[in-house]
Amino acid sequence: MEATFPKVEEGDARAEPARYDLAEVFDAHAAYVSRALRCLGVRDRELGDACQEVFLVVARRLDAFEGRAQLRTWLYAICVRQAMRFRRRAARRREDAVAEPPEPPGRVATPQEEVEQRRRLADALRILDRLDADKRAVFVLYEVEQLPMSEVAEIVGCPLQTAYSRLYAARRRIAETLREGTP
Amino acid sequence: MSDAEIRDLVGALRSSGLSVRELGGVREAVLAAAKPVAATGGTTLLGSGLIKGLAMVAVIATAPLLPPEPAPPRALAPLVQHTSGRTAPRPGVWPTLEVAPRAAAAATRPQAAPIAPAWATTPPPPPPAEPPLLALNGPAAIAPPDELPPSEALADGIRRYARGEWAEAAAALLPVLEGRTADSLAGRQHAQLVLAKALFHLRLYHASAIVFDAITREGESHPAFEESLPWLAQLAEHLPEPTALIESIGRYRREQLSRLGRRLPAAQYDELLYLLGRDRYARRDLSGAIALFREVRPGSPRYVHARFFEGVSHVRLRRARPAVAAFREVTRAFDEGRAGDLDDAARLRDLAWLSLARVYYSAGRANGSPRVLGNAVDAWNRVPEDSEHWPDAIFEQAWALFVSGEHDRALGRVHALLSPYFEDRHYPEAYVLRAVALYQRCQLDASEQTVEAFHRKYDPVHGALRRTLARHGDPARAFSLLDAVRSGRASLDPRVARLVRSAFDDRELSRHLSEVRALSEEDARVAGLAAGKPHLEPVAAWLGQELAVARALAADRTGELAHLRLERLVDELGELMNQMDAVQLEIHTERRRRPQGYAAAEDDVTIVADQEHVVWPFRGEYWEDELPYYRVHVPGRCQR
Repeated sequence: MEATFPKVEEGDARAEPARYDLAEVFDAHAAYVSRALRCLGVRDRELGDACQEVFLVVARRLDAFEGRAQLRTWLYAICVRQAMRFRRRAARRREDAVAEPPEPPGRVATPQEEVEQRRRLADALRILDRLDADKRAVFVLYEVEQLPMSEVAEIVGCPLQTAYSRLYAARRRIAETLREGTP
Repeated sequence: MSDAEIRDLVGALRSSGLSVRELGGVREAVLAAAKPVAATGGTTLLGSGLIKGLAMVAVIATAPLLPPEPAPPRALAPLVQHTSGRTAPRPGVWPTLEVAPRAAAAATRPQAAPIAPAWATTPPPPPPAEPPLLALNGPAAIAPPDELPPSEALADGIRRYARGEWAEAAAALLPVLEGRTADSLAGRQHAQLVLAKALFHLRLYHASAIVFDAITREGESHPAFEESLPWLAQLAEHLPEPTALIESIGRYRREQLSRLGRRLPAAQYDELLYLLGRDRYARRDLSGAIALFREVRPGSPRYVHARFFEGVSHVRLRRARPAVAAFREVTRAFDEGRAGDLDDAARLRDLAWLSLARVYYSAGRANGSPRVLGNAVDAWNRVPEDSEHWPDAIFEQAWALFVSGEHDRALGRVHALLSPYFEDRHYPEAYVLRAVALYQRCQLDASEQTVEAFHRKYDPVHGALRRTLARHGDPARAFSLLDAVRSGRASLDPRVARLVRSAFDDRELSRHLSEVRALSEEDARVAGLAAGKPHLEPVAAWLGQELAVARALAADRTGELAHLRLERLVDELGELMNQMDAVQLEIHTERRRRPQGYAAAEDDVTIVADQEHVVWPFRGEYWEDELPYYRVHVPGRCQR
C-alpha cells in the first residue's frame, strides 16, 4: 500500500476529487517509473525520453485521475503503454544527430566495474526478455519493486492466485534460462 | 534457481533506472512542458493512427526527442587508487626545474616529423606548446607538493621531464606510480601528473588521456585536478574524437572552468565550454547545457556545434521557439560563411534543416496550422540533394504530407524513395505508407500488391537477419562483424549484406570504430617503445596494458552499439511485417464488407513532377532533379 500519496486538497475533499501536484507525483514515483520502464524493455538510451513521456501523460490526465485505483497502478499502466510504444519506435537505424557523451560521471566504480555492471544488467534484461509480458510484469513488480502481491495483482489486473502462479512460472523460466547458460 | 542467483539478478535490475541527476533533468523537462501540453488539449507530438485498427507512429515527429546515440565512453583505467585527501604543497623542499620544459625541448630537439613507429629509438618530435597555465606558473608548477624528499626515481623522473627526455621520464616515474618507492601519496600524485604530461609530449595522446582521466576521477582531492584542465583542453585538439574527453571534463564545475579556462586561448576555452555543455546535456541538465552552449563565441570552431546542441536541448525541453532560433542560426552561420572550415559543417547544416522541419512538423501537428506544416516541408526541401540526409528528408516529408492529407505528394515521395537512386538505402516503411495510402483510396488490389511486394522483398531477409543477429549475440562478435563489414571482409548472406551495411553505415559507429583503431595504433606504437632500449621495457609493457584495457573496453562498447543496430533492424522489420499484416487484414475485411466491389477508376495512376520542376514526362525513367517533386495521382475508388 502507498503510505504517502501526494495530493493537494482543495475545498471540501468529500465533495471534490483530490487534486495531485505533478511535481510531487514526480518526486514520489519517478524512480519507480524509470525502473519499471527499463524492466519493461525500454532501452537505456531511451529511458529518459520514455520517462518524460510517461509524466507528460500524467500531466495531461492528472486532473482527471479520480483516485479509484492506486496512483502506482495507474502509473504502471501508462508505463506499459509507453514501453510498448518505445519498443515500436524502431526507426532509429537512421543516424541520430550527434553522438551521446559517455555515461554521466561522478560514480566511483572503475571502468572495468562499470562494464561488469552493465553486462550484468544486460544479462538480466535478456533473461526478462524471455518471459512473456504477464509473467515479466509480476516478477518485476514483486521481486524488483518489492510490492505486496495483492498490489501486484491489482496492477496487472488478475486474481491474487494467478499473480502467484505467474511469479512461480517466471522463476521457473528464469531458472531454465540460467541453466541453459548464456541468456 | 538459488537465492543468490535471484538476488544478483534482482540487484542488477534495481540499478536499471535513471540516476538522481538524470531524473532531475527529466523533472525539469516535464514541469516545463506540462503547461503547454495541457494548453494544447493533450495533443501528442507523435503521429496518429492512420487507418482503423492500425496505429502507425510517424517517427519523424519524435526524432528530435530522441536521445542521441551513445558514443563509447572513454574506456580508461584508473592508475592509482587514493583514499586520502589532498596534501598541501610545500614549495622549496622538492627540486624544481631550472629550465621550462618547452624552452629545454626547443633547445635540444630537432624538428621532426610526426611520430613514427620507431619513435622510441629516434629523437621524439618537438613537444606541443605547454599549456598557458604551466607557463604562467613557471617551473615551480611541476615541483612535487610534499615536504618529504622525493625518492631517487621521482627526482630522476622530474629531472628527465625537464630535460625533455619524455620516455625516460615515464620509465623513471613508473615505479613511483606503482608504489614501489617510498614516496608519499602526494609524491605519487605528482608523478602521475608528470607522467601524463610526458605522454602528451610523446604524442601518446590516448595514453595521456588515460592518466589525466585517472587524475580527474579523484576529483578535487587530487592536487593536480585543476592543473589538468588546460592539458585536457590541449588533448581535445589532438585526439581524433574530442568528445572522448567529455567524461573527464565533466568532472569540473562550471565556476572552475570559468576561472581556469579564461586564461586559455579562446578556441580552447570554447572547446571546453562545448564539451562541458555536452556533459551537462548527457546528464539531462538541459538548462545548464544551454547556458554553456550559448557562451561559445561566434567565430569559434565550435560555435555551430554549440548552437546545434542548444537547439536539440530546447527540443528536449519542448521549447519550440528557441529551438527554431538555434537551428536557424546554424543554417545562417553556414550560409554567411561563419561556420568555419569544420569537416562536418555541411552535415550540421543539413541536420539543422531536418531538425527545423521536425520542430515545425510537431508544432504544426499540435496546433493544426497548415502554414507551420508548410514551413516543415520547406525545411525538408532545403536539405540538398548531395547530402547523405537527403533521402531521410524525402522520407520524413512523405509521412508529414500523408498525415496532412496530401496523398498525391506523399506517394510521390515514396515513388522517389523506391527509385533506383536509393538502391543502397532501405526504407521498408515506404511500402507501408504506400499500402496504407492506396488502401485509403480503396485501391485494394494495388494496396495488396504493395503488401506482397514488401513481403517478397523483406520476409526472407528478416529470417536471415535474425540468424545473423543470433550468431553475433555478444559485443565481441558484433564488433568483429562490424569491423569486417566496414573493411569489406565480411562474408554475409548476400540477401542481408546490403541491409547490414546500411545499418552499420553511420558516422556514430564510424567514430567508435575509429576510436578503437586509434587505440590499437597507439598500442602498436608503444610496442616499439622499448626496441633497443631495455630500460624502457617496463613502461612500454605498462602502457601497452593500459591501452589494451582501454581498447578492449572501447571495442566492447562499440560491439554493443553494433549489436543494438542489428537488433533494431530486426525489430523494425518485424514490426513493419506486423503492420503489413494489419493492412492485409483490413483489405480482406473491406472486401468482405463490400462484396459488390468498388467503383471503377476513372483515370489511371499518373505520375508527374511539380510543374516548375518537371524535366521530362515520367515514362518509367527517373530524373534526379525531379525526385523530391513527384506527385502520384491515384484515383479514389471508394463509394460514398
